Amino acid sequence: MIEIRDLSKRYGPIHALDGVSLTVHRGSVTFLLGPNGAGKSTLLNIICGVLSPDSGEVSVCGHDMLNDPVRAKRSLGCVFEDSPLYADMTVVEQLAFTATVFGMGAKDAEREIERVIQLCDLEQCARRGIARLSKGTRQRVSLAQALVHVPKALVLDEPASGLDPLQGESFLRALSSISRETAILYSTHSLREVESIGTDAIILHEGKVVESGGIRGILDRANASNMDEAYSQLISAQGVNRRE
Amino acid sequence: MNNFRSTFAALLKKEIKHQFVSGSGTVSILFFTIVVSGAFFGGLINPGGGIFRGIVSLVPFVSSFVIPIASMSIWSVERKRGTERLLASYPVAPFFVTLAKFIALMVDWIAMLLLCAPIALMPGVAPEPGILFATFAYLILFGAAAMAFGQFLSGLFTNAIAAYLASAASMLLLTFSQLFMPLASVSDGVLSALARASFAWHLDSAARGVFDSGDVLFFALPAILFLLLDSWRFSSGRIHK
Repeated sequence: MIEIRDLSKRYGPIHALDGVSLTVHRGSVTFLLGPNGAGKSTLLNIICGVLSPDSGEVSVCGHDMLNDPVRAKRSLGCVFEDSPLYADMTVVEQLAFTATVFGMGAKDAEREIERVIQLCDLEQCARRGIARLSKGTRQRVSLAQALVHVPKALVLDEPASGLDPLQGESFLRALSSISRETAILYSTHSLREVESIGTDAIILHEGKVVESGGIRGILDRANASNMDEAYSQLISAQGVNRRE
Repeated sequence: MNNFRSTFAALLKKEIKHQFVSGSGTVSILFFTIVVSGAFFGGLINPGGGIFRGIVSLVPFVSSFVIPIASMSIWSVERKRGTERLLASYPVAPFFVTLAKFIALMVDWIAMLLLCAPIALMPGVAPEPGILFATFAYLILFGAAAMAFGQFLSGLFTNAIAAYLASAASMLLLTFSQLFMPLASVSDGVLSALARASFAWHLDSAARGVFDSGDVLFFALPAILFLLLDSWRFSSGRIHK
C-alpha cells in the first residue's frame, strides 16, 4: 500500500505539488491523470525516493520513504518515463543486477527472472544487449526489472507511451495479471488504458488533487459516460475556477 | 549482512565493467602507462634530483590529464541516460553507491601504478625500500583525492567532455600551483596557501623519504570530503535529470 500525506514540493516560485494526499491500496490499479506540468512525474519521483519533498509524508507498505528509505524501496518497483536502463548490459544481466541489488538470493533471482521474462514477453531478446532493443521492448524490460523482486507496490510513469497497439495490449495484460497482489499507481495521458484496467483514478491539476476515488464514482459525480468526458469536464472546470 | 555484501558486490561489478566497456578505464590506464614509461625510456626525466624523484614529480602532471579520463563518465553518463534515477530508486544507502563508483576508479588508478611499478625497480632508479613503500602509499592517497574530486565533478554534468575539462583544469591548477612557491616567501597569504595546495609539492616530500602526517591528511581529507559531497549530491535528489 502507498500512502501520501500533505506532500508539497516547490521549484522556485512554482508549486509542483501543493498538499497532495492519497492512498493506493493493494489490489487496485490507480491511475494518475492530469495535463502536462500538473506534477505527476514529481509525485512519482518522490514516491520512488528519487526526489525529496519540501514537506509531507510518503509511506510504502508501512515504511516511511524519508526516514527508512531502504526498507520502503525494497517493497517498491518503479518504471520511469523513457525507461532508463543500462545500455551495456543484456536483458538478463539487467534483471539479475536488479534482483541482486534488491537482496534476492541466486536461486530466487533465477526463478523470478524466468517468470518476468515470460510475463513481459521477453523470451526472444533475453540475451540481447539493451542498447540494441526497440523502444517498446525497452519499456517491457523496464517493467520486468520493476517486477523482478516481487514488489508489493508498483509505480509507473507513462510506461506505455510509444508502444504500438499490440505491445500496449500485452503490456496492460501483464499489469493486469499482477494487479491482485500489488498496489499499482500508474501515470498516463491515455484514458483508454484507464478504462481497460483501472479501478481508481486521481486527477492532478497544478499540483493539487482535484478529484479522486473509484472510476465509477468519478463518472457518476461528473455525470459522464466515459473517462474522456469526465476528465475534460474536470480540467475545464479548474480553468474556469481559476479565472473566477 | 550477506544481502548487503552481494548488493555492494553487484554495484561494484557494474562500475568496474562500465570503466572498461565505456573505454574510460582502458584508455586512462594505457595513456598513463605509455606516457610515464615513454618519459623514462625516452630519457625525458631530468635526473637532477634523482631519477626516482623525477618519475614521482611527473605523476601529478600526467594524472591531470589521465585521472579525468577515468572519472569523467562515472556519473555524467548515468545522468545523461537517466539511470541515475534508477540507481536512486534501489534500496541502497547513497554512500554505498558513491563508494562503489569510487572503488572502481581506484581499481583503475592502482592498475596504472602497478603497470609502471617495474620502472622504479630498474637499476639506477631503485630507491630504498622504505622510500619506495612511502611513495607508493602517497601515490595511492593522491589518486584517491584526485579520483574523488573527479567523481564529484562528473556528478555535476550530463556531458562527459565538460566533466573532463573541469576536472583537468582544476587538477592542472593544483599541480602547477607549486610554481607560486618562490613568491610565497615574499607574501605569506594566498600565494603561500596556493603553493602548499600543490599536489607535486606534497608528493616530492614522499620521494625524498619524508613521511609527514600533514601530507597524509592533505590527500586523505579531500578524498573523504568529496566522497561525502558526492553522496550528498546524489541523495539530495537536486541534480537528478
